[in-house]
Amino acid sequence: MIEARIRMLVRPGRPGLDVEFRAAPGITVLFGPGGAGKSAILDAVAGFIRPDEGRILLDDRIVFDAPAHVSLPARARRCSYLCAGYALFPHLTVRQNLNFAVKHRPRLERHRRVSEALERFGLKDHAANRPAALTASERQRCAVARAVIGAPRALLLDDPARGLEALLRAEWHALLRQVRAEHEIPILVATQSLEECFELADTTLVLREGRILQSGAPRVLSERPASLEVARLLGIFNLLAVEIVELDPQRNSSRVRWQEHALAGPYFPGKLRGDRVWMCVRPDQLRALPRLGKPGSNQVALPLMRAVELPASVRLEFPGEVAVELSRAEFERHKQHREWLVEFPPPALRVL
Amino acid sequence: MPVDWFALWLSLRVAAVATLASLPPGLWLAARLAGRGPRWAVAAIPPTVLCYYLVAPAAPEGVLGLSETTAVAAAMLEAIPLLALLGGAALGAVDPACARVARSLGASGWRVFWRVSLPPALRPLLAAVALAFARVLADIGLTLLVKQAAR
Repeated sequence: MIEARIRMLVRPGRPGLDVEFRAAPGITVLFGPGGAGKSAILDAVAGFIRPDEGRILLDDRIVFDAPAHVSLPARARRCSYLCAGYALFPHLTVRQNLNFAVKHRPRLERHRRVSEALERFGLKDHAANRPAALTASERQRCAVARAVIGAPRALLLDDPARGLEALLRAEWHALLRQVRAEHEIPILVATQSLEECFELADTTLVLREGRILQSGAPRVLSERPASLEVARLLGIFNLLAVEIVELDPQRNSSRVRWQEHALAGPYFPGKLRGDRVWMCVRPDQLRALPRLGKPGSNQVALPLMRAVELPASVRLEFPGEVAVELSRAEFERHKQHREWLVEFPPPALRVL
Repeated sequence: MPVDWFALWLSLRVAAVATLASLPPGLWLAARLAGRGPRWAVAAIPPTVLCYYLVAPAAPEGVLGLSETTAVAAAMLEAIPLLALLGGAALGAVDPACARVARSLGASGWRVFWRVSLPPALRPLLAAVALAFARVLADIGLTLLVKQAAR
């Protein structure tokens, strides 16, 4: 378990940071754009930088406490750190790389641990090779093996999958899931990739400009983004500027006006009539039908601007920044149509 | 005619001792300087100037009007900035992530330097040492000349 409260003041060339979080055993993803403070958090937990204020606990052991002037050096914290490119020691063989991480243990145990790790990560045949002679897949296995061989208290991964091709990335994710299953430790992963966030995260912290905007399971984020900022950062939503014209808590219904169209939605707690708000709905929650007759209830007639082929579906883009995802088969049936009806299912509509 | 090897032997000896003695402070500075870019202009000070100010007034009399220790000290003053500058560039070229990872794996600063940062930079470091030796050797004559002139 990691419990951290980290504050860093703004300095020239470095944005400020003010976060507080707990990371239970399992994978916690730090998601955010560049400069959001993801790496700074990892550096502070690892002990590479010293926050201005705050307190960091690792398994109830204080590793940093600003008021008490406690700051354990990185080597005493037992947090394994890994970054893009893996930083395998180029002049050492795979075996020596692994050995490096268990140097402080008795000789026999060291030998046993290294042999076990070589076996478990499928590196037995490459033990005598230097990193340059390994394939990318072997390199990442070696890096993970080196990171966990010393039984660390936490694993800190600074976007190691950045720029990996799809196959390696899938392998990397499998590797991390294996580590999660075998070690009961918190794993912090900094990433800019939403895909990775959904793939791996037990919990996600959405960061921006040194602050945590929202935390929770990835599913929660995609279903209930806490704010417009989060919705924008995730980048998977249609965001429509609407005005609330009617609110009825009794019947759990509301009416909003978007451009010249009126849409029905659920009751929005905490909002007032006349509020101008952002309505947020995912492209896969909307439905698109070719326009054959008059628009039905909660349907809006829109001309199709563009159809974008996605790996498994087609995204239809309409004016007003509305996008709808459609299965490919369905789109193929209607692709000659220019005019479409976009249906907004009321339960899916949310306002921010 | 028998050749007098004295001058060559003395120069080699002084240069070798000076280079070796410059290694610890030079490497220390190099490690501090690594990855920061060459801010040190000291290496650019002409040896004539260095010798004139440092050797001429202070040196006690010895062989050739100059004690060997003083000659070594003067040579070291030349070698250290060179080692620091070139060594710093050599060490700076090593992936800094390696040092961070090593620290997170429980290695002390000393161990990180000897086992992680130094080995990949060994070739350029040896080149730096060779260069420092060559420059020191080439400038020993100058040290003597300046001493003579100052008398």
